[in-house]
Amino acid sequence: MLSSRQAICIIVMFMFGSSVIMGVNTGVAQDSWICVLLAPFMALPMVLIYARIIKLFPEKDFFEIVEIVLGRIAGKIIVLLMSWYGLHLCALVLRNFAEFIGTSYMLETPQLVTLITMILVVVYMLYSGAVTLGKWCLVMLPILVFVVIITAILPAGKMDFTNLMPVLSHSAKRIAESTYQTFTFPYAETVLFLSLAGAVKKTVSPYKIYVYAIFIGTAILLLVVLRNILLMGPAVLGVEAFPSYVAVRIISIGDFIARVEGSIAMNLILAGIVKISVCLYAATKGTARLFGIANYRKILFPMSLSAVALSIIIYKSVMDMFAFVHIYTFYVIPFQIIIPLLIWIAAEIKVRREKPLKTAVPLTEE
Amino acid sequence: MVMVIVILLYFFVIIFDFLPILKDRDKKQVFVYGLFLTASFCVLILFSFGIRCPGPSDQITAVVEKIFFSSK
Repeated sequence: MLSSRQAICIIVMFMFGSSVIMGVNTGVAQDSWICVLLAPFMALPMVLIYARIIKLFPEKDFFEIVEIVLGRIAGKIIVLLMSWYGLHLCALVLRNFAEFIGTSYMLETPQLVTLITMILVVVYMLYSGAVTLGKWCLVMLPILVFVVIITAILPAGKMDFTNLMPVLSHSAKRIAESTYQTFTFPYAETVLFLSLAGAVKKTVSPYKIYVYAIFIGTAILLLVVLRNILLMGPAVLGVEAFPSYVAVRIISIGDFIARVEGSIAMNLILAGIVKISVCLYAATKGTARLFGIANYRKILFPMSLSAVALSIIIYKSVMDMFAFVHIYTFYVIPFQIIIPLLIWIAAEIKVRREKPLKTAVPLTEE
Repeated sequence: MVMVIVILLYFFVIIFDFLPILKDRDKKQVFVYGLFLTASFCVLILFSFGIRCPGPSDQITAVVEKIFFSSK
């Protein structure tokens, strides 16, 4: 069973997953740090709903809860949709990873090799189970945070604070749109953590898990965004595909601390594995539930290979990948907002209806 | 080269993962396994020949644009 610390670490690393490479919300340039500060407040009501769903049905995963509250047929439809979202997000993150490696480090290596290598690690992780994932996150999160802090401190002398000016140069509508974009990626993506809810200890408060994770994640993301703005400025930030990587390349202290951008790739691998693992776990668990397969591990390999295949065909080019970000913010509304809201309302009704029945049983027996 | 990698990968997956599942004699499990394995193999082997299957992004974009941007 996952402890609260392990669950918090999983969510923080999940949030950090591809954000470390793709950057968070570069659309409003020097104002993006404001969006990162506002997004958790937009996300808070939604993640509290996710937490409430776990609280109402402790030690049950999302797919079990869906079938309990919505019944067999409607439940299967929702399970199918959420499994698709898990698989799709897994493919999107895999592709981000492959594009980054392919354009920055291993230019001659076929993309498929990178994808297969990554997915094999993820499959091994998931074979070991959710608790192993939790323990791994507990060990790796401090390393990841250390790298972020170091890459923010080392280039401090090269930071230009005028890059933050003019503050609020974008319209309120544009900032609200960007805040919503930050809400959908990465905050509300944590809906997929619900698939791991069955592995969370009954005694652990899901509210505490989600709220702590959101605020720790925000602190790290804010540090990343501020570092990128202060080092590169809004103009460069807007045109760079992988802003964190480019920002950290600037670091050069004396002749002996240079090429620190390798640490960004390390962060991507550490956090990327967690994000892909959670997505693949959700997809596999959902598919196993859909077809009535008791052990999700039995179909882990074909699901992982399907994620690789999907990641290959999902975009024609890297430009398509960045163009899809805008569509993604609308596409995820059913998965991140509508379905969890529906399940929450149905779960509240179900629990309230069953409570009087449970108290009524001993009375009739007497 | 990519084709060899794909074929080797699927060969090892079938030997070490699929065959033990066949021994369970659970038809549902074999069907789901076979379905996803075959579909992914087809996509990857075609990719290794330089043929890219159509992805879902265009359809998703079309649906999203129809729902959210049709009035513009």
